[in-house]
Amino acid sequence: MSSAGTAVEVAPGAVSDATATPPGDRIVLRAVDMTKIYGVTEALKGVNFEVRPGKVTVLFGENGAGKSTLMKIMAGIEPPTRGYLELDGEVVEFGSTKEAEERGIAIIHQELNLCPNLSASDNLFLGRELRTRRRDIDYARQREVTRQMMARLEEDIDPSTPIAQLRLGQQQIVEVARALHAEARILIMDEPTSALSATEVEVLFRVIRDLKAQDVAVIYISHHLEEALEIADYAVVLRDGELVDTALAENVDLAWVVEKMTGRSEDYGLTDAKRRFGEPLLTLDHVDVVDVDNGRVAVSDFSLQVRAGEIVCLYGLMGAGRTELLEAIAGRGVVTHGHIRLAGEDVAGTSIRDRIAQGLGLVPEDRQRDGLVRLMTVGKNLSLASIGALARRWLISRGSENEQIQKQISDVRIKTVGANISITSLSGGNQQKVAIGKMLMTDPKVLLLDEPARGIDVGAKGEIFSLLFEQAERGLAVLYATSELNEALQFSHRIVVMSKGRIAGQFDPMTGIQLTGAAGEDGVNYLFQRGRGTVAIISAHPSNPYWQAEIDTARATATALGYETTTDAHENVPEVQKRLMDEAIGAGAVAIILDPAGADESIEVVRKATAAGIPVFLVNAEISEQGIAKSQIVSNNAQGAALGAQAWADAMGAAGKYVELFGNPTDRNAQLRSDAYAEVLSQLPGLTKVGQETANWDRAQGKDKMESLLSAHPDITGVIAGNDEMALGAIQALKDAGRLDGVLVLGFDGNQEAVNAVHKGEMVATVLQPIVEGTQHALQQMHRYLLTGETGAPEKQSLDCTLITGKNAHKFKNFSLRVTREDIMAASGEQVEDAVAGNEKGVEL
Amino acid sequence: MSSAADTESGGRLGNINWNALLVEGRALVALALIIIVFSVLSDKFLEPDNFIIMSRHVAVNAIVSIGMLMTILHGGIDLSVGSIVGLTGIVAGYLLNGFDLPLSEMVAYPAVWVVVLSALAVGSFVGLLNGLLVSRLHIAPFIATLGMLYAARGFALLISNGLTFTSLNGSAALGNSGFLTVFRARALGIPAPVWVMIVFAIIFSVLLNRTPFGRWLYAVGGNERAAELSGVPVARVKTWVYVLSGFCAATVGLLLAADLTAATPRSGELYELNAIGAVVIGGAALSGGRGTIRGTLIGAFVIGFLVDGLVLVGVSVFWQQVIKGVVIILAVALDQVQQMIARKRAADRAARPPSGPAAPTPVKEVVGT
Repeated sequence: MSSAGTAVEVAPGAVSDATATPPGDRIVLRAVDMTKIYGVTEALKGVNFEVRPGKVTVLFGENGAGKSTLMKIMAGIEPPTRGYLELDGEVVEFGSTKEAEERGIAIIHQELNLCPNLSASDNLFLGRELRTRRRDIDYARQREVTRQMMARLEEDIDPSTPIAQLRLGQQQIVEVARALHAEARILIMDEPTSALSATEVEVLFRVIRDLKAQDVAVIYISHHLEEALEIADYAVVLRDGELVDTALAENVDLAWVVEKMTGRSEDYGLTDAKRRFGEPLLTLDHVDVVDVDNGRVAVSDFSLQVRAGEIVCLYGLMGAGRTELLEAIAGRGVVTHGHIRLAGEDVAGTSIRDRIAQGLGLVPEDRQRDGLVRLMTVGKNLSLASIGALARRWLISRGSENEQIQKQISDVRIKTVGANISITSLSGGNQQKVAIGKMLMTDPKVLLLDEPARGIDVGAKGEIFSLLFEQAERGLAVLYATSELNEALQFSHRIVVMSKGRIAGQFDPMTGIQLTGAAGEDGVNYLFQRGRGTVAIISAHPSNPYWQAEIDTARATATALGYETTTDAHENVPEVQKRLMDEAIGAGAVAIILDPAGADESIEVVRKATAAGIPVFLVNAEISEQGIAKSQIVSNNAQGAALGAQAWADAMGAAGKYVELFGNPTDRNAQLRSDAYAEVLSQLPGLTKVGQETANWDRAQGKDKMESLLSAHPDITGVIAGNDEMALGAIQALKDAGRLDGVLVLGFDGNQEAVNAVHKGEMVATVLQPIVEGTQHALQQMHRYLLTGETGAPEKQSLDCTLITGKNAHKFKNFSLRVTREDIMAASGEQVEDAVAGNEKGVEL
Repeated sequence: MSSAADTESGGRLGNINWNALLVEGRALVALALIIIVFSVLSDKFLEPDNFIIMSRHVAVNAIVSIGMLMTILHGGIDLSVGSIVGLTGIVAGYLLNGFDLPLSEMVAYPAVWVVVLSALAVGSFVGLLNGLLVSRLHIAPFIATLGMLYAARGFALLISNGLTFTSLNGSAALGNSGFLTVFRARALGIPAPVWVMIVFAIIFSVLLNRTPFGRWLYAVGGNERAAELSGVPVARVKTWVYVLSGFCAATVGLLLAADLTAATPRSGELYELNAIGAVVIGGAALSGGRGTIRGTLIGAFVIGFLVDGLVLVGVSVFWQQVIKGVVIILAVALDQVQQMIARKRAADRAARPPSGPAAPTPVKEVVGT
């Protein structure tokens, strides 16, 4: 890896050959064309994987990506369906873990494989006991070796303590010790740290480094990506059973890993519709849940509301407490504190059965273990939860049962040859539909689903979620748990991030905007905050209230999304803009929000930033080229100007002489507005334009130019200005000349002073540019882009303007209707309902 | 049967799949084999009188087995049935012989129907205790009912003082006659136990197949966690199966006492083992969730005919035991083979690319709607 010229060039988003392997280093173990098929699921699809001695190869991938399957094959636990292993260049086949172990491959399992009733030392030597000369077990020596191993792992565990008395982390250490003691040449660690404390992880890493020095090849799997990257020499990413990419760890970062892991997702277009939700159906009020098995507090102080028609995603890693929470809501598990309300009624003290009857159903995580009765048919599984209700007196009415079953099979689209075949003959996706259909047959108000898409293929996943969206449209409240970000982003109305039993934050999946909380805990923030960093905001004129609003909005929204900001203004001077852009690139901004200085002049700077890997989002104005900036969000200047011109002409009685104040000529908006004015006004022969001056958007210049125009054309009765500032300058000039009464002024932008002037009758009308809304959109699209690689919107976006006249001027404040900087700031800290409601208002605007 | 199952086996109707038939109808095949072998070996085997005697023997085991099936379906077992048989017989005998009313000089002779109901109630109550131990205290069924096996037998011995009640006739004068008349009655030449077996078989078949309780029972046995999360009242179901088992055993206790015209505290010993044998030969899984009344009946017939046939042919008692054991093991071994074949078939089906009506429609169509 240190040899020159071998570095694989990797940049986030860069497309690289999926099978590319960084050259260099000897290969000790190679999996070739590894394919594993379980029933109808292809868990591995022809993966080529290489392991190098003295290096840590980290396997990244989401649940079901095939990591564990690959490891199981390499450790001899399962045979591949196709493909083979090459150990030291020789094709090998392992019939058992024992055979793999004999060839020097050991595995630390994700699930602890220890006998809880035996002591630490017994477990360490299980199956390879040390013997004395008399052939009985040499307990003394076993204990001594165990003690040495524990010392090496810096863990204070007495060798004769039964495993059951050790805490989970210590058990994991014993598992590690067991693998270490095998003195393997290749050591596979599948989630070795899931229960370890930070100190224990450090020790483990130190041990791994020792192993590397001894030329041991380590394969490491972890959901804690940052941690895994820290120890990695090679990063290998699996997705949907395929090897997506291999890279030297030093060349990649978290963003790369997450991007490769999640990949470009199929867009099911399911979250697009803005919905109005009904009343809260499920309310959790400061709920604490204790895990019955070990007495641990699994969920603490959890408050949440799910409303009719709403799909809320509970996102979190393994051990975050998702399952415990859902089971507690469903009626299994112990709620030690707080209240769970179903449609307003506290369900405390009621059984699972009662809650199902009241309309609360759970589709459990492990459908084999908890969801289905394998010995029963598809039909009987479907009707299981509602069979009591289907019975009249004592007997089940077969007719109505079959009818209900058939209806459900077609409703949830279960692909089966009939209701009377064994449930095990269905594919995973269809089995899951049975598990869901079973609960839907009870006619629930609230449906809880734990990992509804685990272990099913992509197509079935889409079907299952579209089913949930259908049901939600009919008023079902849905709360589901997942550990896959793509699922969370695509299939929910709201994402609740759960970490260590608490809510770490809430997000709107459409925009990525954080609704509440600070998702600040280890495992979580890299997914939601990996985009975080500094956003460079480059605006035009900071002293102008219009751009002030733009800057304020950008800064506030970015802060609410968790970014740092820098703000600057180019004063419409392209050279200044170029310098500011270079500074932003040099400072390593994660994105640039730019109000471009000139449609042509700004192309180069945008191109340069994009080439440097920094996405640029344009607000307020556009550039004359597409495909470079990620978004170009402008107000619909033509539409706004036409609105203003029409209102002004009406006030003029469609007759009279007027002059025009023109904006900055390099600004495309100036021409756009002027053209739109002309288009409306040229239709009216009674109106005559007698003069036009350029005032560069500026109030002082507007006043000066107006004074000149007034002396040149004393008979004018109207002024149209390209923006409010120039209009306000004109008004000042007219006031000074005592001519304000006889001259009608039109502005554009809707800044606060202009709105006040309209309110006072000094200005006929102005046009509100949705600068606040547009800037918010830009920031939200930026955030979504940084999270998912997509903005979720077309590049060119034009937002309609609103006419402000004396009739509605009182409703406007600071460039917007109601939604203000304070509103945005408040949304990030307040109750979710308010934030969502605020969003809806914003849309109504 | 279902249309799906019909289509599935439809292809094979023309040329009979002997392998499948042998495996799937193995209990029936075994029964047929036993009948053929013994009718060849002994010309008395198929005589109506012998047949009726054998059927009566079978019936007693079959009724206990039906109760046993209930407990095995939920994944448990009831080892106490033999003791309940003994206890209820003793309760009936004790009551029919009159008992001293406390605080008075009088001896009470309850009417026969009171005796019968009391005995059934005692059997059911013992079952209820079993059920509560299993469902509420979460004691393993094997342990709970093993304890009850001793305790109930002990009570039977205590009540009777270890003696046998030989007079179950009652007398018209005391208004308690008729016990033997009823329980030894023959309708259409068929003895009462066989009728009871038939009635129980029908009632329990309906219970298992047509009521929510039956469905819940299969679900609890198949996957208790899934059943619980589906709102099945698991504890209630578990409690009730032991009550039913106790009730069945109590019925047998009465029939047996009438048959012997005596109630002995030792009656019913080892009945639990015959019952388990019948249930298992009948295709039930000891892990629960699988088993039928029909299979259990066939299992009871296999064991009953086998034992009686061996006696008839004159095989030594010692060999009888060996042969009985071998048959039970063979039956279960065949069951395992059948399941392995079924699993393999399912795996083959799954590995084959889906076709015909099972073929998934293209995903896009579904997502779009």
